[in-house]
Amino acid sequence: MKPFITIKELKEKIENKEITPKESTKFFSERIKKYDSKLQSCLEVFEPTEAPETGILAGIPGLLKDNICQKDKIASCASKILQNYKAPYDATATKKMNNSGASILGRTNMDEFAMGSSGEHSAYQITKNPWDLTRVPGGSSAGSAAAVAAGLVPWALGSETGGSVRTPAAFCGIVGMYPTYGLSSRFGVVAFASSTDQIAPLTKTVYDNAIIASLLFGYDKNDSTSLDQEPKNYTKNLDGKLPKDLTIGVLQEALESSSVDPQIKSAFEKSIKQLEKLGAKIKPIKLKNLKYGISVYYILTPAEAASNLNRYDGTLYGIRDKEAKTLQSMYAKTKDAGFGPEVKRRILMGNFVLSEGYKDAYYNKANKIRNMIREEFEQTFEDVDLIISPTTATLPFKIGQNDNDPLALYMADYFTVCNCLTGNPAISIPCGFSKENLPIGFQFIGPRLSEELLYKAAHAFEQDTDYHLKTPKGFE
Amino acid sequence: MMIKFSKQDLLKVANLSALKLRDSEIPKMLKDIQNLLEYVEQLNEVKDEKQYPQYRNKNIFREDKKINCEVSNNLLKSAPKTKDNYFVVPSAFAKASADKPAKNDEGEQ
Repeated sequence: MKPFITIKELKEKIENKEITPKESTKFFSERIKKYDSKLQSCLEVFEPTEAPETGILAGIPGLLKDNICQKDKIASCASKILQNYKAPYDATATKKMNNSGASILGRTNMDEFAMGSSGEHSAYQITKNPWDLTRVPGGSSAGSAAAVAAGLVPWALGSETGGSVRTPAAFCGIVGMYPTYGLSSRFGVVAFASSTDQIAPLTKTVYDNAIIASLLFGYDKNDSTSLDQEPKNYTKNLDGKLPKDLTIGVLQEALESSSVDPQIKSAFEKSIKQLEKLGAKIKPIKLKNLKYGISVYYILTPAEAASNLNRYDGTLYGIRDKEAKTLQSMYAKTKDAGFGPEVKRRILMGNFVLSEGYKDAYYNKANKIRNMIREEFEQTFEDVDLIISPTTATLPFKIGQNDNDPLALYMADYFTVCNCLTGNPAISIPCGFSKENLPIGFQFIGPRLSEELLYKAAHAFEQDTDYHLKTPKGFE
Repeated sequence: MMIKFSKQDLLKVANLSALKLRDSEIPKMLKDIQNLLEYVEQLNEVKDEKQYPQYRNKNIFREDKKINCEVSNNLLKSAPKTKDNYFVVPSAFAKASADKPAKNDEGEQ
């Protein structure tokens, strides 16, 4: 069996009885054992299930990000504060993957509480980019992306709040997406920013991504923000052709910005021409409120995080400072010992923008601008069917490069935060490689509930290229 | 509004957050938050945001019905300290002086 086999190819092999589900799962389990010590994608590896594997994903194992609850397994969110926390129930996402017959082979490394764009903010280990082990895989779903890119598993689940699935997908040369907000259940997922968090798949190909999405999305009564949508089969119309009369808006800010790496710009320009060749009508568009995205995001999401993370104080679960003699000092010392600097930074920022005297100027104003951005998207989608842009402005950078400059790291989310704030779906796919052989990704952004269109367009582009067939060295 | 975020502001919000910062953490934390606040000043360019709604969401309700939830029995298992069906914590009313003096950053008392 070849490494880097896709879900689609694997299903054919299993259906043709060339390999049994158990043999297939064992194959990936051994690959994790062989390669993960150098990749560091998993915080914990699980043995394959003993139970017979039946279902759509029988023999097609995956990994879950460490903030997705798996019953009786640790869910630490890569934080010390939850180092001993065992989830008392399965997340809906976990249940759905288990019910599809898949074995979950581990929990993956991430930026602590999903706060980060590089994967460097885990309290435990730094995951490497399989294309260059001295570089970051992107975050916060670092481990999930790196493992799929290295062919250790054919799929993994990540979570996205501002780019945490698409950024590592772009940095690792794979497919990652963000669904319409509310399409994937947040039940059993440790909350960071409740108004943008979503669970989404990371895979080698668009078709594979659509398979997982078809199993993952849909209404969940346990999540009050869940959209009233039936699960859909997103693989149905993937015939390698763009839809007829497709108008694609090209984000001009990306082409004009001096902050976008020239190699990324060049790959993006090449992709525009390719889409035109495939039959799309190309239209330049500007999003004049795009530039406010980072500011709005880094006011609103820390505010939500400050509220969501307040519960980690030693009372109910996780670690506790046992020396503390008063309740207040138990809270303060537990949090000091348990949270890393980035988490502390965001909690402090969040409570500041919510505090008396500042809430109106910061939090309330940012919320209104959020809706201003949302309206601009809606107006733009009256003129175009989809928007495209590079996924990131920079190539995967060296580990440690942005250690002293949190703000520089926040800029990595520049092209991904806006649609998270508005709840619009997007998909990032490979569109080239730099001369240093580092992956470059670009993304389609669509109107709400346009996942079928996104998958169809992305699939057509992908099938006209061979980027998805390239693999990193050292993981044969 | 142009805000000068000071060390006092930082300690105040740390107190609000029930978060203890070590002395060695304060200078960098202060600078990082100042830099971020300076960056978000750009939102002051926007003058006409008042016409936009604060929220475009609606609340979803469900019936306030008691159901059997097997998970509840497992929840206490995760707690650091329990007694019967209660979570046990230090007193909210104990004197602050009851705590040992804080260790300094070298771990000495």
